[in-house]
Amino acid sequence: MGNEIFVWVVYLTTYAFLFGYTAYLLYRLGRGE
Amino acid sequence: MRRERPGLDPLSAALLGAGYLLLLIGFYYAIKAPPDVQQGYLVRILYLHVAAAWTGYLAFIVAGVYALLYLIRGNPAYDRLSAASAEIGLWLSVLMVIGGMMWARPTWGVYWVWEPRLTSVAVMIAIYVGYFLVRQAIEDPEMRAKAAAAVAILGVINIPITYMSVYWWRSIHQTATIDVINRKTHMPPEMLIPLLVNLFAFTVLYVAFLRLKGRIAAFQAIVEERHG
Repeated sequence: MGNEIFVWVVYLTTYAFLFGYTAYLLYRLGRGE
Repeated sequence: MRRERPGLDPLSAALLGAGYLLLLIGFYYAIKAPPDVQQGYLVRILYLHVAAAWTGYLAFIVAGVYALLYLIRGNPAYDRLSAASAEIGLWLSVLMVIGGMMWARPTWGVYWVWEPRLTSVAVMIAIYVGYFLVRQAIEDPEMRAKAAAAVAILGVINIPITYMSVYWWRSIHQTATIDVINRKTHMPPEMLIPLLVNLFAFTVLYVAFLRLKGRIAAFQAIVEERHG
């Protein structure tokens, strides 16, 4: 097919965002003021 | 002096754990699901694209409900939660658009086309970008909260238009995977299960993100009040 690249772009982007956003929120929670 | 931190509460930690476990199960089912007759393995994009779209809508609806609650009760906590939900919704919508574009290129031949569903999604994203511009532009907290609430409520009106756009106008976008109005789906169970698991995973993660963002915003509000 050759279209699998599009599938992997979507999966990697989505998971990278979810992990990144979680890490960002946890960092903000832990940093405090 | 000891640093004060909002910290991670047990319920949010449990929600995060459950969300990621479900996401892993969803990935397993997505990989196991059979290819589509017409689209082959490209159909796997659907499991994340639809999940991001639905939770994005949910986040915007929740933002609208909190905005309405703020206008009725005047409690700043509702304004903070409304903003938190709108932000998560905006990110989920961006993910949904990326997924959609990656799906459109091999199936429609283009990344983007100004047809009814995509246009109404573009309007939806523009409204919530506007929401954050309003929040940036107004300094007075009460005025800012009221103006933002108005935009959040306006944004909710656009959601059923976006959802129904594939039925109301001639659209290149396929109709709903799970037709919530007629309670029907044309999906076989081996494709429906990965979609539902991913949808559940995204919803649980959304609730976890909302709780975390709410805690951060509440903590910030206390600090700002203390320091003027």
